[in-house]
Amino acid sequence: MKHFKFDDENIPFHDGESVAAALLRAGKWRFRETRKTKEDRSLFCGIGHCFDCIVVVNGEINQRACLLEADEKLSIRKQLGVN
Amino acid sequence: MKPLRTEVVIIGAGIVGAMCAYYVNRAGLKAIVIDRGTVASGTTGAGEGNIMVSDKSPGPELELALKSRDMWFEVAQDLGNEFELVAKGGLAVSRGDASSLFELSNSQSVAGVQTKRVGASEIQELEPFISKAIQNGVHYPQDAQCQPMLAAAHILRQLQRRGLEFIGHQEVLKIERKSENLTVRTSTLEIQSDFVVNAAGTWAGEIARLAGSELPIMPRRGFILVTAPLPKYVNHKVYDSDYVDNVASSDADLQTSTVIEGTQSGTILIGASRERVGFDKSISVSVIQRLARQATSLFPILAGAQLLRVYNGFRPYSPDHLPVIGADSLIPGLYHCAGHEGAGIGLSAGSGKVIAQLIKNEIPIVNPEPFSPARFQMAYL
Amino acid sequence: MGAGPAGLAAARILSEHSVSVDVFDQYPRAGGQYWRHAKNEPFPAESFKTTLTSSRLNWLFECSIWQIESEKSGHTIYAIQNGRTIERTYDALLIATGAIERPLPIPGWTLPGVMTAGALQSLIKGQGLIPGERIVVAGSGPFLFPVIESLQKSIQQSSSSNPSSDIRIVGIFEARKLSRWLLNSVGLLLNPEKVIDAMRFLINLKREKLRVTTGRVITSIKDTNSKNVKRISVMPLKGEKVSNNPTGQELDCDVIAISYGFTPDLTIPSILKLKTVNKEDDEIVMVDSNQRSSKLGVWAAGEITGIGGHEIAIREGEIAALDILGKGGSLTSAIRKIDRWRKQIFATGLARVYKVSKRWFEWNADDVVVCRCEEVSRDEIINSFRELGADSVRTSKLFTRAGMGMCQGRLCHRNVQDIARVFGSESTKISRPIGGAVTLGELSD
Ligand SMILES: Cc1cc2nc3c(=O)[nH]c(=O)nc-3n(C[C@H](O)[C@H](O)[C@H](O)COP(=O)(O)OP(=O)(O)OC[C@H]3O[C@@H](n4cnc5c(N)ncnc54)[C@H](O)[C@@H]3O)c2cc1C
Ligand SMILES: Cc1cc2nc3c(=O)[nH]c(=O)nc-3n(C[C@H](O)[C@H](O)[C@H](O)COP(=O)(O)OP(=O)(O)OC[C@H]3O[C@@H](n4cnc5c(N)ncnc54)[C@H](O)[C@@H]3O)c2cc1C
Ligand code: FES
Repeated sequence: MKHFKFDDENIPFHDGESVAAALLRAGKWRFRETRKTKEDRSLFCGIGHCFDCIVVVNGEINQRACLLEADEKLSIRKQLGVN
Repeated sequence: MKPLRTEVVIIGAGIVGAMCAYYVNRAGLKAIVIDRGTVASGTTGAGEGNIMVSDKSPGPELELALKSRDMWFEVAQDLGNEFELVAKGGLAVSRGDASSLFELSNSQSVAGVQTKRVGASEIQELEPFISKAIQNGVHYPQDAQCQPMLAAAHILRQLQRRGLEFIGHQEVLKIERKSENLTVRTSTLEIQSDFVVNAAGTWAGEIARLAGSELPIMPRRGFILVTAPLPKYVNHKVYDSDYVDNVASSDADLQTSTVIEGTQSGTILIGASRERVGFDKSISVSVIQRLARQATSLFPILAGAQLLRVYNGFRPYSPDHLPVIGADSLIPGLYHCAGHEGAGIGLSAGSGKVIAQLIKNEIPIVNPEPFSPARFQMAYL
Repeated sequence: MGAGPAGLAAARILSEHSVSVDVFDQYPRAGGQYWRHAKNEPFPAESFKTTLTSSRLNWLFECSIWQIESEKSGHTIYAIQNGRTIERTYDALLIATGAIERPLPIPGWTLPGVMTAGALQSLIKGQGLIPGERIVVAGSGPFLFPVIESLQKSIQQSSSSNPSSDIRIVGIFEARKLSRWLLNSVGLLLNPEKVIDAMRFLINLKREKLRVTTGRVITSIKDTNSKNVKRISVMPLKGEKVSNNPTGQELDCDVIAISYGFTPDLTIPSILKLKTVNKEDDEIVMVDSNQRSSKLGVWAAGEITGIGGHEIAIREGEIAALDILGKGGSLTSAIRKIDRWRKQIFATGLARVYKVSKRWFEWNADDVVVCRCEEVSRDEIINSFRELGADSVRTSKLFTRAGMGMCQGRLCHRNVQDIARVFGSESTKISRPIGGAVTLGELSD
């Protein structure tokens, strides 16, 4: 199975799956930490409306994990506030 | 219905009306602020909160701006700084020939502005993410900023504890002079007073007409782009020095130049486009693109930033681009405090103070002559 | 604009005539919300298969529209596809951009594992994933049925392919009582097939030994110390108020799917400044019988003209397409209008049955985050009205930043509006001047 990186772990994914789905399948529920209260957040609307699922993708912040198709070239980090 | 009675009616609950109320209240006068909407529902709720001395050439406006800037901090001290007032400092940069920027800063420092020329390495230190191509700049430590809607709301709320009355959702429809009194009418209210202060911003011309006078205040549209929350890429108010040229320009064509700054909520604001298009509120793609281009060339790291929102407001301006502060030449008791264009936040404190002083017959903090409504009203006399 | 049921239905008719048509959608494939499907799955609706391969239609997928400028010469769409700007001018526009789901804020609703029912649906339908083992579905409205149906189906599949899997629905809570269906009796008479649908659904539930507990709402969600398990409180709802009689219950689960229906996505209509009207407290695009909007050359169809589900969306898309082709007065159009009318009566009745309480923010005394992006709470919003002088959603937003974050109020606007109403505020029109994701770099090219 193919993998992408999430922080220091390899996350397996099916072809055509979203990054969010692969993370949840792997039991990774904490996608980001909010700016003000540093609360953990995860997938919420699942269709790109709410921006709660944002992660850092290859250094780029604010990327919606629910819309992004998983790919081996992706290196993903939990987004901490705006970092 | 029984008419209300007070000493001063202030029309407009934008930042200018709020500051007029503050100083009128300090002067011991009873006042009512009235607005057709709520607090900050005009231009004050549609702009940025820069309190700048750096973008003004020596002259009456700079003199007022310097005083007004310090007074902002006094107001914050008195009422509590619940409106994010900080002296974050400004950085004016130049891409090419910096001689006009330096010339300006020299003359500004003679006029009392703190300025410091900075070269490439100091610029990088002040703004680590700025384009390496930028070689020259001037640092202005006095430039400050606030959150203007919060400021107007907070000031009015505090003043209500000190006896001020605020009436929202009442549009002024008529202003009449009877014997020694001015009567302000809305559809359901009648307020009698000794003085009326017209702080209706872009709509001040309308208010003057309601009272039987004239005032040439016109709208000038401005856009601001707002990015998604980002790390602290921008520390100061950073602007292209051609912004300075633009402010003093009367060219009717679309003029854009950039001011970039970060806010406490993490968003970055990119502003300072100027167009004269009446009250048309539609968004124009070419302006958005131009502002985006200017911003990314100044801060290349912003290329990846998502654009969240664009908003536009209408800056109130007068034909000579100076605000109108003082007594109406035709209607006794009527005072104007409007037309502050792109500097109404910064100039509001000083302007409010001048109004209170004129009403009390005191000597104002600055020479009021250049701001007098009479300069536009002579023709009607 | 939009390749959901409304957009596709219009495209199907347009593709049968010699006009050139571009179809924009921000997703990678057609279907919208209703026909969401996984990448390697066939398109779920047989009757649209030829439409998808029609040579008259030019598909622009993963293409997000962020701006539209209207001039006499036509309407120019600005969109971003793979980082590139697309700028094209059209004689006619059909907006079919659908709806946004509406969850209600509940203390604890920001915990991971709490999601909208649509999110659960999208994981099941689009990703083949059931994200937990103990699942609760709660909220109000007809949308809970299809979510429960696909959940059941996919649980069956998973247990047949993996006998050790133990995924269960541990609770289904519907805020409104079944007796309220009487409010839709005319709708049911006009749409008898809906009764059959409902019966089928209930029989299915029974077979699985599941039941919908009606007249109950979740009032809080708390993290337990155990991994990803949350404890919810469920209380009876009497009218608009939570009551203690009978007493509530507590329940442990790991995934909670919440839905209180949908609200039209007015982003693109607001950019075009189309006239809107209020329907059941939703702002909807105003259209005439041929789905024409207030702007010349712009049609609107589907959920943005009123929440009604995919069948109405299809009819509206077809009616709009016929009118675009100059056949708005034809018999084909008239037949579809009658069908649309029949279904709209049903939908309006449904909205009455499942009317969301306007006092949801009083269900729990504890404060709750309302704007998830900027983390603004109910009490801060109330304070902006009480103390700062806010008089509308717009001014409250300026003071509190509610609705100013990444989602631009897509999720909280309706809910802040409910709070604002208590303070006598009129509704604030939705204004979202940037329609889709676009970066400054993309704008600079
Ligand atoms: C995009 C943009 C960016 C800006 N950035 C800055 C900046 O960084 N720094 C700065 O100093 N300035 C800035 N400005 C300018 C500044 O916002 C204005 O100069 C200032 O807000 C004007 O304040 P005001 O109180 O005069 O007017 P307003 O805030 O417009 O207040 C006028 C009030 O009068 C009320 N009113 C009008 N008619 C009636 C009536 N008939 N009856 C009752 N009430 C009435 C209105 O409802 C309104 O609330 C910017 C402006 C824009 C548009
Ligand atoms: C999350 C969710 C799940 C749903 N699931 C179901 C279900 O399982 N069963 C059911 O009966 N109903 C479901 N619905 C209800 C659904 O709204 C209707 O049944 C039906 O899909 C409406 O059709 P439509 O064509 O009006 O809109 P949609 O199907 O929503 O289609 C709108 C399309 O427009 C596109 N779009 C929007 N904005 C832009 C833009 N700026 N640029 C480019 N493209 C854009 C979207 O990507 C989308 O594909 C769901 C709704 C939501 C919000
Ligand atoms: S979960 Fe809402 S945008 Fe991804």
